[in-house]
Amino acid sequence: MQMDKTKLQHAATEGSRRVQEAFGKLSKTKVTANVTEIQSISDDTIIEKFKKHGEQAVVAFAQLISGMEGFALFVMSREQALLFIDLMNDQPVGSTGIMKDLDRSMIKETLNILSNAYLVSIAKEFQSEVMIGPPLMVTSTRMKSIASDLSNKPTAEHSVLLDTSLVLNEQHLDLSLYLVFDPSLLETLQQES
Amino acid sequence: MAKDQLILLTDDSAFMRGVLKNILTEAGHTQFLEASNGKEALEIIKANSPALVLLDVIMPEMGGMDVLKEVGSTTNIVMVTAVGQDTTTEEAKSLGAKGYIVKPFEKAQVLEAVNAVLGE
Repeated sequence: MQMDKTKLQHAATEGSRRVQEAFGKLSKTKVTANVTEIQSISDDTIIEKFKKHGEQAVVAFAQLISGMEGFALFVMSREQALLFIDLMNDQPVGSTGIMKDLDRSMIKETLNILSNAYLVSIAKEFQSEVMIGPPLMVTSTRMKSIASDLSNKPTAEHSVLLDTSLVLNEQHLDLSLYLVFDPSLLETLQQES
Repeated sequence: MAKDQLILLTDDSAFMRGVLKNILTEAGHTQFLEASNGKEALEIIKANSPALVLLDVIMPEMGGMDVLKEVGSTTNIVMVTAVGQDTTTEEAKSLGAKGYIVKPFEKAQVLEAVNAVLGE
């Protein structure tokens, strides 16, 4: 079962606006945000997409804790993560070589911001409220384990992938946000919409 | 003076605690303690009686609402919420929260909420 594409697109547009506003407050540079692609995807697709991100990917994970069941996964390549850290700290590109705890904290907060922006927008389209739990950094091994768990569930389109392009200080960043919802909850949302 | 009063910053994100601290430091505040979860916050509140607690809602081990339930009636607490947590902010008010600020922060919103409690 797919989520209504029109509603998803509305949510993506509204979510991008929230993301742009949020990062504009946090960063010292001008920010634009656009969702380049939003789609409902199946378990098979999400597993394939996870695999493409590779071993060095930076992954943050947060459980949805209220309103909707599921979780959010934020993935970016290590190179993009280091670039992101430099841009947010208004440092020359290439300054960050090794991520420190504060950098990881910023990445986790980015998951919070992105997830909240899009989840709130999606929840509003389906007239619900949603809260996201504390984010964690996960290893790529854990990410593959999550993908493996998904492969054991009945095939259904119960995930939403938002590929987001952020431009900070004229530098392009490509971020992937996966929102994985419980399929039974999705049916409830469809019935109530 | 209001700006010498102790402020406890409670958020599991070191990054967000830093953002808050920078905003408040630029505004002249000088006394801070930090906590990364509700349990730590309660220990600090009981030991140090801060003039104001900025308290994140969602944290591991113990969240902000549980802290509020314990000390909301005796401690000045401003909740730190995320976008879309309208039900939470209503509940927080009923438990004694003096206000709320929404992440990511507008500097003016933070200072307005802090000044409303500390009396600047």
